[in-house]
Amino acid sequence: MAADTLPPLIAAQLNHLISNSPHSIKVDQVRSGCKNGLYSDRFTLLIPFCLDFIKWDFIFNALYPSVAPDVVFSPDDDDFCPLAGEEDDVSVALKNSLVDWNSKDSTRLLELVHKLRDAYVNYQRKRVGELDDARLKFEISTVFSREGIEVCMVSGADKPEEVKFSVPLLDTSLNKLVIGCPWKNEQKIYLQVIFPIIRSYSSTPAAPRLKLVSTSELKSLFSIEDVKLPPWLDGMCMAEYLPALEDNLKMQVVEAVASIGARRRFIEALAPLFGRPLEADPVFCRKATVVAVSGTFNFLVSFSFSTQFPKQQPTLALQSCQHFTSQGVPLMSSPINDYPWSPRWDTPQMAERIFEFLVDECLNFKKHCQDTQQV
Amino acid sequence: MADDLPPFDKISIPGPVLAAILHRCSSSSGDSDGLLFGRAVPLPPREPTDDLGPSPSPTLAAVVTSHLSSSSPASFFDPLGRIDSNSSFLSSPPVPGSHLIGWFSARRRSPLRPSMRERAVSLSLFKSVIQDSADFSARPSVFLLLSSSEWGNQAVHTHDYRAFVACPSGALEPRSVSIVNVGPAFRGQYGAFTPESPFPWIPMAPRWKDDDGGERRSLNGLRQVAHEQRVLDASAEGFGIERLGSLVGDGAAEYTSEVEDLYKKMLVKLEGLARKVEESNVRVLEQESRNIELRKKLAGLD
Repeated sequence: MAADTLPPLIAAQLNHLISNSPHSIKVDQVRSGCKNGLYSDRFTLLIPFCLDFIKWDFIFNALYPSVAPDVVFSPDDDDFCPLAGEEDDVSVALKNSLVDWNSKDSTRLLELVHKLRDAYVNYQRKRVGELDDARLKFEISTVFSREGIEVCMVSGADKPEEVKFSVPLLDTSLNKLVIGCPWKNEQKIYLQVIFPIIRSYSSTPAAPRLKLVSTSELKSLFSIEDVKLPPWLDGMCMAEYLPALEDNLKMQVVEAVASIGARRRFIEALAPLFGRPLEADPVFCRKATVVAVSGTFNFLVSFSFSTQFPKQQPTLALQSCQHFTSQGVPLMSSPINDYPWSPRWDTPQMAERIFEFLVDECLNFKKHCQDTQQV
Repeated sequence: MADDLPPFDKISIPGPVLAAILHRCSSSSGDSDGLLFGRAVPLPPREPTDDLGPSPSPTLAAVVTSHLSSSSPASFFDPLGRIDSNSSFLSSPPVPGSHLIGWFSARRRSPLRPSMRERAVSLSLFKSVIQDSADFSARPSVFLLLSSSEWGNQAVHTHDYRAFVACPSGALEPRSVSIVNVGPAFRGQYGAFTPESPFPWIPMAPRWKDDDGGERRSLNGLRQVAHEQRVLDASAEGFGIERLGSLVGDGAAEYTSEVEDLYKKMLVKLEGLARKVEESNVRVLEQESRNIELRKKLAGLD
């Protein structure tokens, strides 16, 4: 990767940006502007914005490190010129960070990217605010005060222009709900709302397209695919829609957190029957493996739990310790989830029932292993 | 209303001028920028129409005639793209018959779209550099953006360029570039060509003008002049005016052998001159690579 050839000063700036930004920024296409291509000094940054990425090219000069970097914005944002235009708090802060550019201070690129992103958020808000659409004007006047809301124009070559809102939901910290939380970035659930632009008054406005989006790591706690969105009624606005959705989500998140406790108790209940688990996921309790013995047959039982436990039973997989394929891979059963189960059983009973089921099932598995190995 | 009209409808640039700019950019060690000089030329009026609208305003084309590259990038503007009006680079006297018409920026392996700072510089140049006339066409509004990349172990070089015009509203509008070359399509331009051979701009004041230098310096200056005269004389040696005089008049009978002799000597001299140019080019190249080494040290790359 060309990133290795970045001069130390630029590399320090970039590393600080990647490891300290609350947004997960990606670096792409590190390349050189020098004649011999020796020192890389320009790269593309993918910066999250409004549930998508904006691609900006940052151009340094390896031979003149004291010169502040320059930025080429996306082709769609032709009229985004943060250095021109009205003076406001954001643009003053941006200009200050550029004017006294110090290449030796590795925090500067992070500061610049954030200031530029702030300016871009304002630019998109202004663009949408200038649209001649009564419904959008109303939505903007009612929801723009929500913290963290982002909005942008979406336009493609062969489709009508639309406006996308990204509304962060639940103002409580999800990270704090999980004990021993391993997430580095704050996890969030967003509602993406896409409005078609309606410029004539006569037509009845079509309902917006709604979708829930979450940060990627959240899925080990809670799957947003399981959430059923309430219907959008005619003549509804976001300020009406959001409270009901948030209440609904809040309940489901609380259930998801409670489900961690249920899983943990279940894994603990396995110990008296199977012995201490060989390994278990200590934070979200989504996986556990135990060792089992039936006569002279040794095998492992892997439990994987969905976020809907105990409503959904764990999926089991057996793995022999004594039978291997010709490549030396241990033989495994296919996933098993058709055994007797009731979410109403108490936890020790759940473990016992599985134990009883396995007493018979392991004989089938042993036979299957022996047959496979003989072939 | 008229103030909002972009000043130029078209930009044309003679092939050799564009080639010189491209060469400058591809030979530069990193990104480079500089000024463009040229003049405004009225375009022939559009085809008349039967519509009874307001008569179309006369349109102008910008002709780029020369460029001046800055010695280091971002030397005549600040990080916010504001022009430094006191910069000596900006006040460099242009070639007679042309004025500052815009600027150029060349950067390798980057998108061919104006960057944040390039927009600001173009606008600032347009707004802050006001030349003799209050006319918009006299303001430096042209922006030429160049990008180059090479691949296949430097076997293939790609040069791209786009031209823009700064509008009073603050936007940069793309304009088509026509390259003036030899050929029937360009007869008009060649008909209007006036040869100009300006002396290159040398920013240092000549030494002998220095009043504080005293006797010794002026003596040094005289010595320098005498030395340069000797070098010049050596080049013209054997081509004295008397000898050329013998080509006409009574001695013209030996015309053929005399011309042949002169021609032979001229070839020898040319060869000597070519060798000298080669030697000095080698020295320039050596100096340039020394400069780059120093620049690398300064940039903390070694």
